Amino acid sequence: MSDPVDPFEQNHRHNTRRQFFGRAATGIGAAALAALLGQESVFAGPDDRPVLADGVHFPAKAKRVIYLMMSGGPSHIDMFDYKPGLYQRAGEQLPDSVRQGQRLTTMTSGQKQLPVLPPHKPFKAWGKSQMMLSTMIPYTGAIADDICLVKSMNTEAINHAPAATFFLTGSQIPGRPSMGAWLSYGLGSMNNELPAFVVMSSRDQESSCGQLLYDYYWGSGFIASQHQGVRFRGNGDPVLYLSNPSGMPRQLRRKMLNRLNELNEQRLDEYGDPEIEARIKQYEMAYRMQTSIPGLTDISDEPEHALEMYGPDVHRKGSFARNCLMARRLAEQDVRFIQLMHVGWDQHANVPTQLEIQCKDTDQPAAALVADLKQRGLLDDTLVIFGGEFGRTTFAQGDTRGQKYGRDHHGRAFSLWMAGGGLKRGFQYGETCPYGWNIVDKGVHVHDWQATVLRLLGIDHQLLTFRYQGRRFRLTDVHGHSVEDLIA
Amino acid sequence: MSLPEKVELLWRRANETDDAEAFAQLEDLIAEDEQAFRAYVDLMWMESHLPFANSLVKLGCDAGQPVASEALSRPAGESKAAWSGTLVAIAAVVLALLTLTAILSSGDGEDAGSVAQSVPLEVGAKDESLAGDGAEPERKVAFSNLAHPPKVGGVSGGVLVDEEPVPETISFNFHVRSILSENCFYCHGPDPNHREADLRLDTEEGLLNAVEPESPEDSELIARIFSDDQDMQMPPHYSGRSLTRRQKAILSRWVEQGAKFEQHWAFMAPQKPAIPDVKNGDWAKNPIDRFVLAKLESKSIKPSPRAKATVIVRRLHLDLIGIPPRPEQSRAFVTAYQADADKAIDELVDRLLASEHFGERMAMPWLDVARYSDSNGFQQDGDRSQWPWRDWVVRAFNANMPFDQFTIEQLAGDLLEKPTQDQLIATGFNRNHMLNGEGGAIAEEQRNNYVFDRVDATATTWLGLTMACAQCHDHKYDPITQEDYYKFFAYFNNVDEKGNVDRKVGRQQCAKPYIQMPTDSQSDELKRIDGKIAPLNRELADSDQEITKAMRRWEIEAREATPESMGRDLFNILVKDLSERSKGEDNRLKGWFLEHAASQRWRDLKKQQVRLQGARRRVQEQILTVMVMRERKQPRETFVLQRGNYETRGRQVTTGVPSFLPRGNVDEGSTRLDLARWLVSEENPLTSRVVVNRFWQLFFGIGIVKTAEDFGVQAELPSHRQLLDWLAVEFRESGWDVKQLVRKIVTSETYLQTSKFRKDLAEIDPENRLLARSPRYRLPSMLIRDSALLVSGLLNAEVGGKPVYPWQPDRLWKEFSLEKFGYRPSQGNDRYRRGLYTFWRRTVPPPNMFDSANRQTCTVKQARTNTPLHALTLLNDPTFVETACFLAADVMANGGEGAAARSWVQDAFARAVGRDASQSELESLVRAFDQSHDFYESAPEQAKAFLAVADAVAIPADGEKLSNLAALASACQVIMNTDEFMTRE
Repeated sequence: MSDPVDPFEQNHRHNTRRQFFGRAATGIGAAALAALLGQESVFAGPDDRPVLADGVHFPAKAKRVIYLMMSGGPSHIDMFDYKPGLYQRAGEQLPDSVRQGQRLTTMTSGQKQLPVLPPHKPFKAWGKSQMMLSTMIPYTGAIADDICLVKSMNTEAINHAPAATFFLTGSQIPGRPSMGAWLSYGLGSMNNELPAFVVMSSRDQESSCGQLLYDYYWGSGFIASQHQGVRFRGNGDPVLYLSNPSGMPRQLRRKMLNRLNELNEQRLDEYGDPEIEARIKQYEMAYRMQTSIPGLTDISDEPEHALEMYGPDVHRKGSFARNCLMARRLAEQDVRFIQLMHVGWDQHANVPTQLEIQCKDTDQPAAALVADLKQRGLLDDTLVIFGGEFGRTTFAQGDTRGQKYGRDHHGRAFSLWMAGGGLKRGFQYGETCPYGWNIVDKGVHVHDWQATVLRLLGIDHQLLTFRYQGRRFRLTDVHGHSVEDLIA
Repeated sequence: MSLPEKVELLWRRANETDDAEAFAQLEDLIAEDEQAFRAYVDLMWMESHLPFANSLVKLGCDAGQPVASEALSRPAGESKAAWSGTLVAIAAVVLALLTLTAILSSGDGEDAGSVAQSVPLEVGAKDESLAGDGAEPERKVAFSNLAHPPKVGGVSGGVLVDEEPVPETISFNFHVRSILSENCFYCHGPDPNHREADLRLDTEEGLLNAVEPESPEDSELIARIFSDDQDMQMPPHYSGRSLTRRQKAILSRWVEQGAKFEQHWAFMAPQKPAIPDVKNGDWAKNPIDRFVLAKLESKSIKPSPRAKATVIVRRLHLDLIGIPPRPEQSRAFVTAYQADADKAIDELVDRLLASEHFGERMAMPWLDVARYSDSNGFQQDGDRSQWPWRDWVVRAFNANMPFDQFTIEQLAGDLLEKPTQDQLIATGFNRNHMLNGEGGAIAEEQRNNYVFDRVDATATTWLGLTMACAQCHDHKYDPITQEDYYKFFAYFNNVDEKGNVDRKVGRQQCAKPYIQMPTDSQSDELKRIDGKIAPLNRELADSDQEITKAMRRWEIEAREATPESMGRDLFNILVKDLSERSKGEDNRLKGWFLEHAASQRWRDLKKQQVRLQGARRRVQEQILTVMVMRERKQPRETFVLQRGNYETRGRQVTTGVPSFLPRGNVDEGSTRLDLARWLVSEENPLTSRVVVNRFWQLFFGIGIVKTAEDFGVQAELPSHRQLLDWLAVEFRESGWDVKQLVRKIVTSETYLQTSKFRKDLAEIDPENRLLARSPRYRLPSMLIRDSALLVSGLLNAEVGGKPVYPWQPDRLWKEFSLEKFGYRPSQGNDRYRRGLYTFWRRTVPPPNMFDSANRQTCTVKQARTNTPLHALTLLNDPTFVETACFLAADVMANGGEGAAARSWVQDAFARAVGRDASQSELESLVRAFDQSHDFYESAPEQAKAFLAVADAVAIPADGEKLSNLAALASACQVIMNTDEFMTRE
């Protein structure tokens, strides 16, 4: 077979030209976004700060994001989406006309009865906005006038890992860049002492459910790896190997790094490999992280009343409460994307015993975070997101006569709240049917939500792209519309 | 940003967001800059429906209108007045298109066939009239709105244009298939269950239903992709896919050029190509060089000169055995190289290929491919002991086992005639998958998962196919049917396993089938115990009648007055009538009777027997157990599993190889051994290519086919197609001689070039695919550690054996395993074994081995990233501090009395990177030493603390020696953190 015009050549040229432009400016993978906008690079300029003003396609409403990812699938029926009709229909079969052939996970697909299960605890109208929220989340109730509740979220995914991957990367299959990586890549860092993208994790104290957190939840996929989330640990060094070895004080380390840089620069002169330049930068970044991170994780400078806001758990390292406080501290340092992964919402068989505990673990800290940001004037340009990968079914899973019942996964309609970052406040959006099963108005698909988050940060989700294997990828794949109605 | 990009961005902004400023900017730009204007014309041209535009222009030409294509070819120097004429022509084209689109959309959308037929007629009919009234006033108005040209089939937002020109000659394999597979195969591909309109575009026959060769206007496929009508448009708007202008143009031109179909290149057997002629024949050392050079010469690129001898010796050591040369080895090579360069290289390569570490280096990527691990994965993550398989791999590479044999033994060693223990161990390849020992796991589901994994790993490793896609439905891109998948599945479905964990001893969990490998002393011990048990057994058996009689008597008493020590279940047996008891139950009761209630003599015998049995079990538990493949006697039936669900069985299938590949003499119902032989048969077009490509990747950083994991239709095109085929055929014809293949690669001039970056290549070839220089890349983290250990003199280079536990941060395992696993570092020099032997826990891999494959599923490519976290690891992980301290201590010990800082750092540098430091490098290092010395001299406690990280370094009592040692260790840290130290140059 002949290769008439050496097609590899054509593709090769095609692919590499971009890469060249991407790397020419700084020596590290830079951004097609910058190229699109006529800038040399988002990373060019002193101190690696982005040249572009925040808000590259639109005026940015938010500068940073704190994403409280509630892994497991919090029940919208029990917490956010008030459906009084369910009380009367308790125990009745979910009508087929409502179910509309929705597939069920293998956990309930064999179940013969699909009895309606009303909310576990009463709802109450909160604040001036009279937002109906469960009495299980009174602290969230107290900030109802600050939040923007979307009750018409929907996703195609039905199991945890694909659904979470979808929320975080725009695709159910692992390997795409996560949202934080996209933002780090597109907007760069606002702080040259900390990573632009930080991840912390916590789990419910009872360890009642067992999702593992996979590192591609904060991966950078095919985008350069400096954009991947840096995971802070709850114990020991917050970042592995962060501390200098004993007998190597910081001043001496500084001097040694200077010498190291001299050696590396000589090699760079001789070999011209941009990777050497990148290495020099990473060593410098590492050095800065050594002071910035311990400064952040040491909370001894927090006044007692500030700690109290987050609840008693704040004193336990690695707890959700502590991570929320950390999130505020990171936001103050202008970390671009802060992702808190909290495991514990998978109440298949333990709504009566676990759901309230779960609410207790998270309600106060999450609400405190919003209030704390607000009182520091940070809420205006910080977007806080609270939500899981899907919601839960209207019907009960298991036998409701005892204590071992709960709800199965439900992606067709569920709720998520956000606050700050230029969103409307005390605002509710979207509507589900009286069963909380189907969306009847203003559905917000995961890709729409992602488009909206990018929009708040000033980015047109269609224009933040990365070329990989001949295709331009974006967070929202080829879908998504920003939901303008949510924006103040 | 290039000018065309700028024009396009402005146009899009103006067009899509109605941005007045962009509008004004664009108008100014194209008014002032002819290049910009050309770009704009080009944009409009490309943006329009090219093939129809072509026919319109032809007609327009007849009618005496200026022709856009002419305008495009005008030299840039033409005056603006001339351009304005062009404008009109473009306007005409654009408007004609608009009208045409309207016609298309007004066609009978429900009957696609009739629309397609009507297109050419209507195009012809309308064209004439359009061409005739090109100067209608309204059109002028429309066009004067320059920045708001009508949206004709514009590409939807986000999916942006390709800026490269459309190739002159279109090849189906290299241009067309990827477009079709990416955008069309999903509904019009190999999967019949998901096929729309009964149209498939992955076969010649199918394509001919949609295209009329040489006549794009008559081709429905072309009509559809250019259609603006949502009902007509392909890909449909809801698919989320859309073609770029360039892609549309490629398809159109391909049809124009005759719509020639080609089988996917990788599915046709490689033919050995002729070795190309080159101008600079002197440069080319072997055929590899000629292929590489031919390509470079065609682009007028010169290859790079040889690397320095010091670089070559280091490169070869790192690539072939994974550790750098010792200074004396390096020096010896340089001397030999100066005398006779080629001879020196050949001899060095021979020596390294013969080293027992060669097998270790080759095993590293193979372990990633084989998802080798020392634990089972999943939340239980129990330990396993598959390391004899790992050692088998190392041995096989060292013995230069032909790759066909290497393949056959790993996939089907158990089916060979009278398999040796080694051949059984080799089959561990397909038992390296994860194992779910969770209580709630459904065994049959897990068992099916293991078979899925074997299919995936086998297909990726040998065929470079993403078979897994066909688990639930026919493959969307490659011609792999779901039936093909389950036929392949059937080869691995007959393993004598249940899907659960069969053997749990402490943390160890493993599943049948397995073999046990007792040590000599264990065998002896077992023999000894058996020797003692035998007479006891005999005596008890001989007395059985007597015992039974006694027991029956005892039973009557026992029912009346049950002994307190008897458990409930035994009691239940006791009260059962003899006729209701099973034989087993009766024996259990007898056992208890003998042990507790029989006469003294029998009681003693029984107790002795029980004790010995316990001892036997304890020895048994310690015996090394390796999971292997073994077939069931009664073959398990295989069914197509609908949507990949083990519970929903479809039709039954037997074994068989994928139907789209030549099956050679492999018949339906063949065995796993037949499959293995087929993989390495001459007919198989994939295995040899896939395997040589991975070796290439090992030595050049990137494979000739970059997507080393996928040679299917979605694969990236090979950079040197002919070279790949040549290597593949050579490899097979050499008798699958791995060492010969490796030797050929590493003695090529291509490999021996310097890896220095060249400005002239920066834009043409930033990824170095053309190989005008040798690649330069960071070593795998495992090898950085190995290098550090070697340089410091700490390395324990022992080959093979049980995994070891080098130092790692406290509590790490506990934290990530929900407190289940504690970590106890090995003692003594087990901590300094090569990384290959570090215990690999799937859920918590070794923390300092960044960028490693996850060892959960088959991985054929290693990540190579660059983050601050790596810097922290290499600076602060005690492993690396320790190596710096030891290097310092060793250098000082060998430096002799009276040696000074300068000679110490010089020596340390040479040992670490294999060359002498330059004058200025030396200055930096001496300064590093001096600065550290200043500090440690004033703070001896700190010096001690620093050196104490390496717990075996002797801390000098003498103050000056102490500060010297600490300062040198600090300087050594600098050396071992240089980019050069961690890089294969």
